[in-house]
Amino acid sequence: MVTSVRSVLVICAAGVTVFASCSNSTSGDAAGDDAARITVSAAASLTDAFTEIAEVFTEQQSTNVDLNIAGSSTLVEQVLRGAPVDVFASADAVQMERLADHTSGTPSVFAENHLVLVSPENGRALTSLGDLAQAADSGGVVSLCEVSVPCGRLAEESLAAADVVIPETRVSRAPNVRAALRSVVSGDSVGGLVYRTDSLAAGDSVHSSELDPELPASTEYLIAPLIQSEPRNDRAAGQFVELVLSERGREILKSWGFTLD
Amino acid sequence: MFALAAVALAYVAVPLLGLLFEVEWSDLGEQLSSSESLTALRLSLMTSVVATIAVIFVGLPLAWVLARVSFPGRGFVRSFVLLPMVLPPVVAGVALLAAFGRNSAIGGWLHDVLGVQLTFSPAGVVVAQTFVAMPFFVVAFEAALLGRDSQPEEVASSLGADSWRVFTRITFPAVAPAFFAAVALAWARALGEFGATITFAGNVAGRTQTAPLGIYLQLGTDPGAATAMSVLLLAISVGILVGLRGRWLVGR
Repeated sequence: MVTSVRSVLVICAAGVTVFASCSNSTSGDAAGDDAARITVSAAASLTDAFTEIAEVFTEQQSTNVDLNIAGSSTLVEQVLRGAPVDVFASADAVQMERLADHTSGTPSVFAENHLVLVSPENGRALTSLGDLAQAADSGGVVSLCEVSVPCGRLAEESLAAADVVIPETRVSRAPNVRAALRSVVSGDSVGGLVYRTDSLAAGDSVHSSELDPELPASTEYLIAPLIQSEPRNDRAAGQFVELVLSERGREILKSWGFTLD
Repeated sequence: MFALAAVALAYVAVPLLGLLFEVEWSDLGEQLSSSESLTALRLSLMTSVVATIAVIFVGLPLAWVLARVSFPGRGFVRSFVLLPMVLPPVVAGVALLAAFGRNSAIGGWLHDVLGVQLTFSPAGVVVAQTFVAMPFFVVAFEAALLGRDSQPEEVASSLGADSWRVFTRITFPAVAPAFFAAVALAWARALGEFGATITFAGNVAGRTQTAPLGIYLQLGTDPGAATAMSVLLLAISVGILVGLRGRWLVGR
């Protein structure tokens, strides 16, 4: 048994060496910038636009971008629990404020988006939140985002402002906006509230109508580099934010349906 | 060997201990008795029990056929019914959507002719749970049947007993402990179902929001309640294991 324990220790030691050498190579210290990479946490609604921006960035700066996509609140939770993230792009100011102690510099607004009402293309088009409540009353289920992500918060606030009540048992809370959209596209839910950018991505497969502009259904996207204990990525993180705010970045965001002033 | 075994043990123990350290024990009762948690737990219990009954109803004959009847393609059927066990649950959800969603042939027919919609309904939760839990019952129960000498059954049949009578009088009493173990496994799997449920049945409070979905949702809004519910599900899992070991798997 003693021998086997010893041999295991040797294997462990070998494993540790391998791991250590792996992490050295990814941080690319002296080997040059070929292996440089940054981690960008972006809200789910930014998936398409940021995938394109990341490609441009890799081309320009020869730095790889690891896109970490989820609902904004999940992304915040990850950073608060110590995930090493270089840039955070949030779908609203509420989630960005939760990381106030982690951002370097003031977060910048880089795009706007707002909720629109979508319904299945083979059904009647819904034109107001009242229509949505009625569709739920007549036996359907409405798809919204869960309340902890920005699109869910906006949906709650808009319904409250419009004085429209939809019973909880008639609302499905999707984990992110794309999941909510999917249920509407397939006709499983009678309607839902998703971002304008998502309804554009769905094209003709849904009816889409604008909400009353008085309702608090729009959100500003913010981006900021995050403070790292290891400052190796500071420069690249700043450059990524610059690219998003640049003319090139704005064009890409516009092409995916975001509103910019 | 001991060192690696210790690593494996720690790998299981550390996250679970983390959960126990995180939970606010003094608030546990209060957290669990919130109406949101109670609704989710009640729905979980109801749907998982119905799903388990469905699993037994069709899974028991299937396990019996696989163990006792020789037919061409039996090996294929056996592997096929195990598929949901190794399939990522979210893929199970996507598959169920493709088969029973509103714009699928069957789902469309169910809705237009019978007025039944499985997505966003408790029935949809049961369908998802039954799909993923079935193989657990079938594989465990079939193994028990296979591990038994079939001679007493053959004698009974030769004396004129029909196959139902043989099963209820001879086979079942002998494999009853394995049967209950198989039921417990399937029930535990149904109770913990998440991926297929949220994908196929959605996340509607009181209708499809089971305890695991409630935990996931509350993690964003009320982490304390999510932790409390996690501890309760952990306790149920421990209860199942203790029951299995204590009664049916003694000496293993």
